[in-house]
Amino acid sequence: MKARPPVSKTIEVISYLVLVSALTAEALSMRFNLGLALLPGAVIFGWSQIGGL
Amino acid sequence: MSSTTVGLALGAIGESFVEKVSDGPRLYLIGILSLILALREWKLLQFSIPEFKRQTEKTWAHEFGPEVASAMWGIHIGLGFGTRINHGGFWVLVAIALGFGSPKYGAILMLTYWLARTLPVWVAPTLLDSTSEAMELPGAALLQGRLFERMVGIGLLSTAVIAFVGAARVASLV
Repeated sequence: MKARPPVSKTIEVISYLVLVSALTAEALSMRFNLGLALLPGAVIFGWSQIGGL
Repeated sequence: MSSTTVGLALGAIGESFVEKVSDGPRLYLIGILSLILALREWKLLQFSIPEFKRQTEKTWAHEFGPEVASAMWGIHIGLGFGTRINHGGFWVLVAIALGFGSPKYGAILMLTYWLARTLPVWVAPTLLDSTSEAMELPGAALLQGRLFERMVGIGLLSTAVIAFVGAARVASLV
């Protein structure tokens, strides 16, 4: 039976997909919203700070 | 609430000088800062980032009870500057809040950061078997330090790209 990928790997891949899709959507959008485009980064940066609680 | 206050303050500070520097250079500076910090996450550059080397006080739970302590932890973490800063992404958010010069946007940005930062602590007790295991979550997460470095590195790189794209658009509109 094929082993499931570790949760951390799955989370990492999802994070990348969120960032790339946000970036692509904003880059392709006619109404480039800089503020909105930068918000996914805030999610990633905040979530990665768990060790600093 | 403390995070929105910090965001409002940063935006207000930025607002006071935002008219002195045009949009393009501000965005390029944010992009360059993001790139430098991304290189740090990938260990291609090595330097320390400014931080207070302290964490929230675990003893508050004994002193004030769990509910009051939770609120105090939330406020303390929300300040952003008051606890350890493991990755450079936080400083890019500060630069963005200053650079946009909008208190409202600064508050939204810092609130988003705070929500993402505290979300694992809210969610952990529902996913783990016991409260004691939930308390161990930050330590367990630190074992995945390289994972977070890679994620923040990619986040910083994408932030840099967005800032450069924004700067180019501003230039094309002039």
